[in-house]
Formats: sequence, C-alpha cells, structure tokens
Amino acid sequence: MINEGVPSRAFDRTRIFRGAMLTPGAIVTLVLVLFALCLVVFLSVRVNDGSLLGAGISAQNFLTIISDPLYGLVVLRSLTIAGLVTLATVVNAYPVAYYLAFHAGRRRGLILFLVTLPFWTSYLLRVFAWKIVLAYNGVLNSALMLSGLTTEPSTLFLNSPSAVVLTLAHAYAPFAILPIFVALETIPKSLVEAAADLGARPFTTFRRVILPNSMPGVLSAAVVVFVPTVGDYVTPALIGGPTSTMIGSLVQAQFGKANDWPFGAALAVMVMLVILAVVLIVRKADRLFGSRT
Amino acid sequence: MKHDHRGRFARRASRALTAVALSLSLGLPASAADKLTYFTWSGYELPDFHKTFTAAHPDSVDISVFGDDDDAFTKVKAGFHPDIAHPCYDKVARWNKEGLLQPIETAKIKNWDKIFPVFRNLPDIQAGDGKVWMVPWDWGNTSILYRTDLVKDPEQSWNLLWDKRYAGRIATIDAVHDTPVVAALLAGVSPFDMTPEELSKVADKLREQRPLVSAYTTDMTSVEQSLASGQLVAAMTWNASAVALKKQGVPVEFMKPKEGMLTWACGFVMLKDAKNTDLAYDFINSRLEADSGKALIENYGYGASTTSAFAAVPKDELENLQLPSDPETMLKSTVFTGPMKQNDDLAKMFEKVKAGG
Amino acid sequence: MKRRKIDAAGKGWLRWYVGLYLVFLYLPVALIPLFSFNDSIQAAFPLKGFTFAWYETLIGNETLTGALMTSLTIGLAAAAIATLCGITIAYMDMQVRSPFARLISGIARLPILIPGVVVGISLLILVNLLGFGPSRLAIVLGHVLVCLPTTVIIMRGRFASIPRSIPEAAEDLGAGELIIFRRIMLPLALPAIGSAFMLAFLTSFDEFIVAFFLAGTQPTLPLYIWSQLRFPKSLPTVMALGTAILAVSIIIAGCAELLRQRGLSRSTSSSA
Repeated sequence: MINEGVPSRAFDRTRIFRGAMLTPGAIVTLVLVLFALCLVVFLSVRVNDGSLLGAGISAQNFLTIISDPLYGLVVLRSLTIAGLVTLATVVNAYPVAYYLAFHAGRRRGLILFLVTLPFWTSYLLRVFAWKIVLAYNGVLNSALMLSGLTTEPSTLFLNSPSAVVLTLAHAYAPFAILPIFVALETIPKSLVEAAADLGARPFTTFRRVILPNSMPGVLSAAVVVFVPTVGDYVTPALIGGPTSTMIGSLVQAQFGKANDWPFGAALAVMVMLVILAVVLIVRKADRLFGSRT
Repeated sequence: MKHDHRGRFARRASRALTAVALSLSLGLPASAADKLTYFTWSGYELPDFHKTFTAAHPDSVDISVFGDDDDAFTKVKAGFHPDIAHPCYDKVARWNKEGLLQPIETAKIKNWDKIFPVFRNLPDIQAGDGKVWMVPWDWGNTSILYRTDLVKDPEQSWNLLWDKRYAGRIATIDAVHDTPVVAALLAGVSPFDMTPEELSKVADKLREQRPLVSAYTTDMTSVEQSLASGQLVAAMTWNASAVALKKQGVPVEFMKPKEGMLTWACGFVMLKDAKNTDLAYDFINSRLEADSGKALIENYGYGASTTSAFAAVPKDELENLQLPSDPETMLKSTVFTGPMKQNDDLAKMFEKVKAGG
Repeated sequence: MKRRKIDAAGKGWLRWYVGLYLVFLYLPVALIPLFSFNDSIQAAFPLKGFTFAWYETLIGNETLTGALMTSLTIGLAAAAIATLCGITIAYMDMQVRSPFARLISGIARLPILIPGVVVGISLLILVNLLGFGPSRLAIVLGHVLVCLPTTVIIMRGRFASIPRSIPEAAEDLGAGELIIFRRIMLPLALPAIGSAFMLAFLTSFDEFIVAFFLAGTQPTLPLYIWSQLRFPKSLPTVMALGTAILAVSIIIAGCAELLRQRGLSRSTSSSA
C-alpha cells in the first residue's frame, strides 16, 4: 500500500521512455517498410495484364525464373562481382581504419575529413572521372605507355567487370572505413595492454585480440557494401559493358522497358531471398568460428 | 540536475522536431490547381522553347524531367499525373493501352497545318474525327557514326555493327526501338509485327552481335568521347553526335545505310485526368511557334516538326547540322520507329540477350 | 630492441599505405577540377586550354544550382530522421532487448535488400494514397527508408559493444532508463552517431533511383546529372559544380577546424 506510489511512477516513466523511443522507428518501419515489402510480395504472385497491380494469383513468375538457367547465371555473376567488390573494399579499408583508431592521434580528425571529402562530389561525376582514368587515351593507359610497359593502349580496362570492381571499391570506401573504425575504437585499450603485458608481439595482439573484436564492424561494413551492390544496375550500365550485366538490370527492365511488373517483383523477391541466405550463412559462420565481445 | 536532463531531452526532441518541420516545409506543394504540369525529357524544359506561353501566363508551368521515356511511363503508371507529357511515337500505343491519354483536338492547335504531313499522318496518333493522341514536336535520325580513318570505305549498311574485324570497338544504343529494330531489319523481318519464330531469328542476330559490342548504352557523352579517342570505331548514335564531333574536328561520318536510317519522333500527349486543358493547349501552341522550333534545331541539332521552324533557320546552318531543309523527301527513305506489336516481348528478349542468355 | 624496430617498421609501412590509399581516393576526384577549367566539351587528354566559361554557365544555370540545394536539404533531413530512428531502434534492440524492438530492428534492416525501383514505385503509390504526392517530402521519406538499414547496423554495432556492467551500475545507483540513455549511452556512442549521420547523408546525396519516382518538379542533383547524360554538352558544367562543392566543403571544414582550435586554446589558456 505504502510502496504503491513510487514504483508505479518509476514504471510509468520507463513505459513513456520506451514508448517514445520506439515510436519513430515503429512508424517508419510499420508504415513505409512493410508497405513496400507487402507490395513486392503481392505483385510477385500476380499475372501481368499491363495494369498497376496485375490480376489473379499465380506462381508462374517463379516457375519461369526457376526453369530458365539464365537467371541463375546472372544471379551468380552478381554475387561474384558483389563479393569481389566487398572483399576489395573491406580488405583495403581495414588498414586505414586501423591507422585512424590506433596511430592517427591528433591527425585523426584531419584524416577522417580527407577520407570523406572526395565523396561530397556526386557519385555520377566520380564514375565519369574513373572513365577518364581507364579510357583508351586515359590516365592509366598514358602512364603505362610512358613507363614503357605497353606499346599501345588497352581497351580492356573500361567496360569490364574489373572496372566495376574498381569503381565500387572506390565509391564504398567510406562505408567500409567508418564502421570498421567505430568497431576498432571501442576495443578497450586495457585488452591490448594486457596482451602486451603477457608478452604478445604486435602482430599476435592484432591477430588474437584486435581482429576478432573488430569482426562485428567488419561484418557490418561487408553487409553495407555487399547487399546494395548485388542489385546495382547503374554502375555496370555506365562502366561495366555487356559482360557485367547484373540481376539489377533485369529487375529494372521488367519495371520499365518490358512493362511486366509482376515478373520484376518475382525476380526481386528471389534476389532478396538469395542475398538474405548469403548474409545469414556468413553470420552463422562468424558466430561459429569467430569470437565476439 | 533535473534542469539538466530535461534540457537535454528538450534538445533531442527539438532536433527531431526540426527535422520533421524541415521535411514538412519541403513537402507542401504550391497550389497546383492553376499551374500546368509538364513531364518531359531532361533538356527540353528550357523556357526558350515556350516564350509566348511565359509571356501570356507568367510562372504557370511546373516541369518535371525524366531521362528515358520508359522510366516516365513507369512513373505515370505508378500514379504520377502531369497534365502534359512528352513520350516518343513508338510508345504512344503503350500509353493508350493503359488508358492514360485523352485525345487532342487539332482544330485547337494553331500551327497544326504547318507540321510536316509525314508527321501529321502518322498512323498511331490518329484518334479519329480531327483528333490526335500526340502532337509531334521533335524528331531526329539514328544511324552509325564511324571513324573514317579507322574504318576504310565500309559498306553502307547496318552490318558494320556486326563486323567481326572491329570486335570490342563497337557500341550500340540500349533501347528496344533501336538495336533490336536494326537486328530485325538485317534478319529480314518486320520489326513492327513478328511471329514467335521471327522473334527468335532476331534474338539469334542479337546474340551474334553481343561478343563484338563494347557497350550497350544511351550515354552519348561517353560514346562521343570514345569515338573521339579511337576506343570505338563505330557506334549507333543520334544525328546530334555527328554534328558535335565534326565540330571538334574528329574525322567521322554519319552513315546512310542501304537498309535505311532510323527516324524517331516525339511529341506532346495530354493525360486523361489533366485539369488545365486550356493552359495545355496554350503551351503546345507556343511550342509550335517558329522560334521555338528554331531554338530546338540550333541548340540540340534535332529536327522540329514545323515547316515554319525550318524556314526560320538559315540554309547553311541546316547544312552544318546535316538536317535537310525539306525533311519530307528524306523521311520517305528512312525507317520510322513506330509502335511494335511485340514491344514487351522484344524488350524482355533483348534484356536476356544482353545478360548473356 | 629488435621488437621495437619491427614495431617502427610496421608503423612506417602503415603510414605509407594510408598515403597511397588517399592517392587512390583522390586520383579520379582530382580530375574533376582539372577538367572544369579545360576549354573543351570533351573531358579527355590532351588539355585544350584554360577557361572560366563552364563556371559562367554554372552561375546562369538555375536548374543545376537549384538541384544542388534540393539535394542538400533532402540529404540533411533524411539523414537526421534516419539517424534518429537508427539510434532509438538500435538502443531498444541491443540494450533494452524488448521483443517488439527486436522485431522493429529486423524489419528496419530489410530495405537494404529491396531494389530501388521497387521502393520508388511502392512509395509513390503510398504518397498518392496519403495525399501529398511526389514532392521533396516524399523523397525524404524514400531516402529515410534507404538509409535506415545503414544507421541501424552501425548503431547496433556500437550499442552491442557497450558492456552491460555500465548500465547495470547506473541502475544500481538509481538512474532511470531515460537518464541512462541520455547521460551515459549517447555520449559513449557519439562517434558512431557521427558516422551514421555522415553515411546516411552521403547515401541520400547520391541516390537517384528512388528520387526519380518521388520527385515532383524539383529534381535532385544526381537525378539532374543522370538525365543529362544524353546531352554531352553539359558534362563540363557539371564538373564545375562538382569542383565548387569540393571547394565549399573544404572551406566549411577549415572554418570548423579553426573554430575548434580557437575554442581549445581558449579553454587551455583560461584553465592555466
């Protein structure tokens, strides 16, 4: 009886706090995200008659996708290119994040600024800049010829999967550096010092203390780079050539040129499931073989 | 202590509120009732093209732009409702099938008779009874632009884009009404009405071309650059690119293939639930004035649909732009890209071939 | 002795690597100012002469500068909302761990899987149903959806690595959940919040697929550039704009750094 007042007020404050915290997120996810997801799943089982939402219910779209080997091939190609991009971006970004977290000292703000500044120019401009670098009469070819390594320009740099990997590894640099940096920064210095006190060489400290504890950041970076890349159609269209056609182009075409929204939605659903499977497998592997805080 | 945490909470709340207020202030549209909305190609929104409209109705038009009329169709289908849009002739049937358009009365179009007959009489725009679905405004040609110094005396035929000697140095346009149409012509098939067997013949022809192509693209900026540098020796382009590269002194030639160049035409359509029909007619009329067409020809090198526009441009200017002063005769020998009955199937097939299937 | 030499060598190697990486980052970007002064429509070597002409066309080109302003406003708004949602969702998911929060957190990370064209179309249908149609507000909503997974992922990572001992200690001292959040967790997570906001802003600033569907009469910058690719004449002007953006960012960051230095020196001198 006597205690009723105080606990219930504290409990109310907690309820209000939790409610207020969840409100913005709940509105955005339950209204926007669920709507988009439900729409794409709904469309994927409809039959195309040119109208906005199609007609009838049918699994035909999925049957077409499964029965045509081309789609599996293109999905595989997309996963491979996206995988290479992720590997290139994350592996190259890690040392930079490491430097920022442990060795930059007073220069940290400056280097962080320098690392993010290039990305204030529009992405499309940077793709065009890469085209200038990789072009027939571009910077790379000129440099190779000047140094005597080649005698005539190569047409192989541009309009190829490697151009896509290079451009995206550049474009996603801050998306890899920042999450890894955040993760490295939060490793308590005491752990590193304890390892040193126990006689570990720097590389051993890195391998057994720093790297495993930074894995969550590395995986966050990998997901943020990998997932959108699989569905990207702009970069391959601008700089990839026909051999880099990815699944995103096919999805986009169904909604645009080919005017078959249900089929496009079915392709999108299939791609989403495949990416989700890949991400879950990698997370499971990390939990089994990696170590976390 | 209490002040402190309330202050911080207030600060966080105010940050959230400003974000919301900012977004709301961004969103509320100006009263759309009196303004005409025009949905058009990026680059065609310039006020130079509708001077008389701006004089009569200042600040009465809101323009949205697109980069591709397939994207425009997707957006309109998903619920975007402008008053006028600017698709191309080969897509009119698709917009109509979706029930998106209302017919335009030619009697209300002041300069209707000044439009070249070949455009006025296009079959798919006729809506019967003095009405049309589309008022043609701009047109141009598509053909092969090739380096005369890197390709010696080629056969004047679209086959140049299938020539194995230039593998990896060829580019073609990534659009259903360009590359597949040419493939159909070369396969001896009518692009505008195909049986499934004919469709697979076209598919085979396209598959033959794929290993030779450096890029399927609509990015003319890069195509012009690659032709100038010699990375490409031949590419499918629009006539404006020929003009631009010649002006820069690059040795190129815009081919007149024996199978015929492709001609495209685009124009104004009125959407079914357009509210501002009077403003719409005024707008279309002001765009059909001679000086509007003249601005189009001189700025972009594309043709205007009215005889008066052509009359207003000096003859030597037209020669520089490779536009004949009497398009009628030229247009009789080109392949007009009109609506294709199997457009969607062709599009799907083309996408699959580009992806490797 | 040997160990210290290896340490020093390692540090030296790392510094070289970061330097090379910065060269890699700046190599294409440095070309943009270079060609913005080049007297030729084509952005190709050899250079053809110096000119300010492209900057002159830039000043006259209202659509382009308007598009830049639109992109900046939308980017700031979308990043603010997405970061706010990211913080709250991640906190409730990782620290409070209510099942509803975990559900919201899972759903919030799904948009990263959805292709842009699908997000664009579905949100266009939604904003038409809600009544306000394509507009800058619609684009902000679209971009919040696109940026939300990134902010949630980053904030989840940060909140996950704060040891439970800290909020437990605070609780033992009598702090309510709001105080724990405001005075302990947020300050600890500040660098992550900055990163999340920055990445959300960059994502929104470059995004044009969703923006196309939700744009009314005011295009965003990448939308404008993308739709201008058919017109090769406009590339140098756009490069002039890119250079202008770079210059302004450097100036702003430089001023901020100067102010910070002055603030620091004032506080150290006053404490002395």
